[in-house]
Amino acid sequence: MTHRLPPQPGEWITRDAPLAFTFEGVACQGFAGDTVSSALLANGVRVLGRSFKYHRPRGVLSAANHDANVLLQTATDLNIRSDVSPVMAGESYRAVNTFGGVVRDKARAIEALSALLPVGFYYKTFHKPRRLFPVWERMIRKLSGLGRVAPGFPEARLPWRRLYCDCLVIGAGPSGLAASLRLAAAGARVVLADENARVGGSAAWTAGAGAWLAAAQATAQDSPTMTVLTGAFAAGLYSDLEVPLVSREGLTLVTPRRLLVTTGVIEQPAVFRNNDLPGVMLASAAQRLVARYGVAPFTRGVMLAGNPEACEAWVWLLERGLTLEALLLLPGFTPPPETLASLQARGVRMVRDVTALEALAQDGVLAGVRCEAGGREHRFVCDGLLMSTGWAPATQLLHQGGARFAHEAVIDQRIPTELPRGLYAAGRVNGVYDFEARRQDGEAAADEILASLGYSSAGTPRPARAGEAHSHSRPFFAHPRGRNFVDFDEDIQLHDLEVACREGFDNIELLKRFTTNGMGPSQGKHSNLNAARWLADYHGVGMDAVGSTTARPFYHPVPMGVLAGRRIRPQAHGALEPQHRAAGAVWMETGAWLRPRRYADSGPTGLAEYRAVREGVGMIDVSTLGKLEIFGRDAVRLLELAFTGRFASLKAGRSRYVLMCDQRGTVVDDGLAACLGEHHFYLTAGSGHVQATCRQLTQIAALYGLQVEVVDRTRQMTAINVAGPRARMLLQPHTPQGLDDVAFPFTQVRDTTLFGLPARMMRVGFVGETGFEVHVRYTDGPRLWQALLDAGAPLGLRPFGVETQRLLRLEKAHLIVGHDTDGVMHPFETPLAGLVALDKPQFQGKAALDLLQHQVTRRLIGFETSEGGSEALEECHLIIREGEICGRITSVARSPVLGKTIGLAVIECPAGQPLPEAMELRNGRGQLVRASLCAGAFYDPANTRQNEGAA
Amino acid sequence: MKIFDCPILGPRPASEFQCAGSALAGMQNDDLQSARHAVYFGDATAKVKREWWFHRASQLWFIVSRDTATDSVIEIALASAAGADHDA
Repeated sequence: MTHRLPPQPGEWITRDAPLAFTFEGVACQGFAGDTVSSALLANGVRVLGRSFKYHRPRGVLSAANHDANVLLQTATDLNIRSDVSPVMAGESYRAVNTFGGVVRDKARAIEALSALLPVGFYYKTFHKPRRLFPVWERMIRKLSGLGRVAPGFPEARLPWRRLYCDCLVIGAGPSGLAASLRLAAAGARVVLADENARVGGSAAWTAGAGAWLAAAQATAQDSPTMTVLTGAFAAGLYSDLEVPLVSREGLTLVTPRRLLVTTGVIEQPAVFRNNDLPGVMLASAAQRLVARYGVAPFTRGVMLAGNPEACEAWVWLLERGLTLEALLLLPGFTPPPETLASLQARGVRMVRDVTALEALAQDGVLAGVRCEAGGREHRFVCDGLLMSTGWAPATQLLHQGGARFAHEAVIDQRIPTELPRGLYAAGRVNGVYDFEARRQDGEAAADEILASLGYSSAGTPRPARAGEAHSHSRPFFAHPRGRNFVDFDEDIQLHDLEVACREGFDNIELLKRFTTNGMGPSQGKHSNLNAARWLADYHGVGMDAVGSTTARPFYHPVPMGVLAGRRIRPQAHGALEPQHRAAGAVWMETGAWLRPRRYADSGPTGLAEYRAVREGVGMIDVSTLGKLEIFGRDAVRLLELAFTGRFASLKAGRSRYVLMCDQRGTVVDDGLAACLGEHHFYLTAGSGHVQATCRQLTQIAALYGLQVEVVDRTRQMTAINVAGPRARMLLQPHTPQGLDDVAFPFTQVRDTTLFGLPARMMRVGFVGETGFEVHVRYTDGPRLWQALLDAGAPLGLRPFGVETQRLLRLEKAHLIVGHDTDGVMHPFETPLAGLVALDKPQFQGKAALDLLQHQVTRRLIGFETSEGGSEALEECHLIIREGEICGRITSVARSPVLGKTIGLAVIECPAGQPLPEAMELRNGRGQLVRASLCAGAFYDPANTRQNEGAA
Repeated sequence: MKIFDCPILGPRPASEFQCAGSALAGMQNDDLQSARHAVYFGDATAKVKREWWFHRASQLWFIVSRDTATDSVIEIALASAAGADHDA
């Protein structure tokens, strides 16, 4: 590691933690804390990647997450940003987008063809002759794209989390850090986010800032109200100031009350021939490499200077032992007098008013610089050419927040002039450049925020903005042989911009689309400003007239795994889950609930369960049923407003089947309403719909100002339905309540005890046998289940699952809302029309139902086939009449007791017309199956079994 | 995320709430004409709207005044308190 400097104050690497890795198969050494790029430079590797179009060698440009030409690939990951990604011990890295390695990339031959591939060539070529297009397509597909997806990549679903705070500060440079400290000191909850691994920003290479930075870091660490998120970039700014912060750990969605943007500025390259050679880099990139990683980016450097920062960087780098040969000044730029004196004292070789410039290559990397000034040619041998010519403010988030800007001629920078409520800016993005002034700007912004949040504030005034230009307005050098790149991501040269303008795409947005300038992975962070400056020059207008392209989210590419997040779905677990598991349940999901489909020992179709219910006794856990308890003077009124039926006549101890429609008249829920007293009802509702039903009831209560309370007891109660001819025989010995038809008739409800447990029992008939639904406290559920199992064993009791329950109810032709009904089915299309009391003055859906009773076009019917069970009919198979589709099956099953296939179906049949007695159903094999209409229940149509009970 | 500054619950994220439509329309139960009008001629202009909002966690109903032009919440009140003047 020959290119390492002596330890730097505050450096990010740990020198006593060396690590080994490979790049393109070559063994390299680095330190913990290194990025891949910094470690490679320390190993003397200079070609780190290849450019997208011409496959030119590229190296470090920014070392600030904008080096889009240095994307790496490992066995499991791709598009790794080498300039910021921490190097991993033992990892094998390769450059993407090469054919045969980064050094000997065969695709570099494309550059020789560049004259044939002018900007926008793909709009014009490959179209004729058409038959050749597949050839071109194959070739283009092979050449384009970056990296290769490894199909065996580990699935990394990263979590999302939310943060709420008083103020989110984005950018932990001098202004952001100062602002955060001020906010936190006042007691405000602050989140400070920075895309870098550590806070401090440019303070690390600002003369005299070291002591302040160390103190600020310590204070930030100790602050109880401040959260510092490093390695997290702000992907965008959304409504209500919501900012997604993306990091390796996942996504943090921050909703602050105030947002302070201290994102600073992004250093911009100059445009000259071969400005892309490895070795040509931004001055701030060299400073980052030195200050953070102790890496010497060059042995002999030359600096291209167009702003005061160039001189500061020169002095800073000299003090760290680097060798700089010459300072080349852009036309019209003169260092400030005091800096000039200090530079001259150091014996700097200076070339003023450089009029022509090119970098010289040897073996694909920088070997020297040639420039002209005052009619003379100068040549320098160097392996580092630093560009310090200008800055682009990182205004993307401010743009997305709706800020307005104007180009400030003095600073030669776009400055926010109008910020929406809650949004603040400070520091260099706000045009404040001096180190002291940036801290003051941050503190002043913090004081404004504190005052707006009602904290006491010192009212620090905003400092003056910079009084001089920090960017050169024309950092361009034309060259007859080109290769003066404006956009490094897409290999766009100065000449390409001219071509676009000649073709008429001379507006900033059109120029971008035609040339793809700014459309690469770094989204124009190095190229948009130069393109705009060049266009202003081309048209001879000001920067405000040129405008800028739109900065949409995301600010930086966001991995798909981060966007996907973890797929989290709530899952409800009933009290009896261990009992079901012990009984060998085969599970199914019904909404959020996991329910036993059937039990493993009952055969593949659950026939044993079915037989138990029809011939002996069975039990099913129906705890998922919605269970609402309604109390209050207006309980009856609430039920009458919410449901289609009448309740005034319902006496205590009785229950009634209820139907709920929405305002369009669609059937949305059904259940049982049991009257427990004059002002007291117990309501069961559909398993998946109870929350909506509860919401409806409480809304109606609020709307009409009803004196009523609705309590959702769904998860407080366990319910078991015990059904079958021997149900009474099983239960009677264990309850004081008489269970015969006189003491406890069908549809009635009793509060009593069962096996000594307080139990609410309802005589129900869903499955068509004598049935008792027993509701007990959630915690009593397992005891009841076990007691029933023990007492029922001699009677052949079997637990049965949802599949058996559905078959049993189908034999009774009971519909399931949401299964047999769809999103527009109203009661007049179903056998439930009799439950709608249209003569009630008011209830939910009445207006629609008044209308719909006359607009019946289809009906829910029952059908049965007489064939031997080979019909192969399934749900959603179609009803065919005269070759036309006229309906579909909603439920279908083979009835063991009837020995035929039965089902429910929706069939087109306008009101007034008789239902067809016979129909044809088309199964999955395309065969037509004859079926006949069946009115009422298929099994026990007189309901004697459930109403009176058999045994 | 939008924060509802609720007088009962304090500041809560909008994701805990659920909108249930205009508070002025009531249930549109008794009058077919007004029900049809609401469907086909509902007021969709951007302005201050009064709406039903349900808070899932607490099961409370609120009447919320919301300016759809500026996407800002102006007033939040318990529906039971605000309900009287909306009684259909």
